[in-house]
Amino acid sequence: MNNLRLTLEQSIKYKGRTGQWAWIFHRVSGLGVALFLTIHILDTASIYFSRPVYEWFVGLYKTPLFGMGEIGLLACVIYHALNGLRVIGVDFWPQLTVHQRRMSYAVYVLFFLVFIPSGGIMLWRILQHMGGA
Amino acid sequence: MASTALQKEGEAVRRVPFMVNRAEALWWAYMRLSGMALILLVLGHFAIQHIINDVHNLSAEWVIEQRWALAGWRIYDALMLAIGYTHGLRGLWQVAQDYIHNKTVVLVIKWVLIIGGGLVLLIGAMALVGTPWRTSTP
Repeated sequence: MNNLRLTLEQSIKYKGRTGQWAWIFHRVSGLGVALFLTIHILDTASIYFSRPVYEWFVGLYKTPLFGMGEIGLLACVIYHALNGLRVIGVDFWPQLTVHQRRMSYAVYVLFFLVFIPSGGIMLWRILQHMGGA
Repeated sequence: MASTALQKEGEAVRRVPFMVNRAEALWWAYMRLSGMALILLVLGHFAIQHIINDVHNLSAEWVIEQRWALAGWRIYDALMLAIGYTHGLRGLWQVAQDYIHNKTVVLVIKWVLIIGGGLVLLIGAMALVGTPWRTSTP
């Protein structure tokens, strides 16, 4: 746990700016997706092993709380995908390094361009079901 | 570590390791290649299953009679399972390696990832292969 605190403290103090924050967001979003993916594989697989367990999971995902979690998951997936593309770009074409800050900003712009409409649709649907259910 | 430098007698040779471990280099490449495939697979899955289709219409009957009735969707899901989960496990592996400094704890986590991750992959694969032979009524 000491390591975790050290990592968190130093991450805030260290002045690595755009690249450092991209690194942190990439790790955090990756951890979030990997954790949910583990649950998502098991809940989907339960359709084969136990129907009541599957129905229980589906019922859980229809609640507003899990709906909000799903929007958070969407944010993680979109950021991780776009930033991953930037990392691949810089790794395979090192001459892109001179544009690294601009590329980091482009990732944020693209993130909001993709996330706001798709997350908005999901939020709208949750509110509809809360009102009319 | 292989070194091709020819050493003259009495002359110090500076050995520069290109990559410490070949497996690490292959995993580095795998993360980038699988990442590119996952951008298409996972964003496609999210758009179809979570945005175009409403989770409120999801049911076991629909999955068995409609979605997994098509082999194409089971192949799509199998690709996501294999590529996506191995990408995720390798990511967890790297995070453990980077932030946990106790070697024993790191070793335990790696074995949990190998055995636990392998089990999750097996369970997912069993469902993908076995479900079409199940009837949709419980």
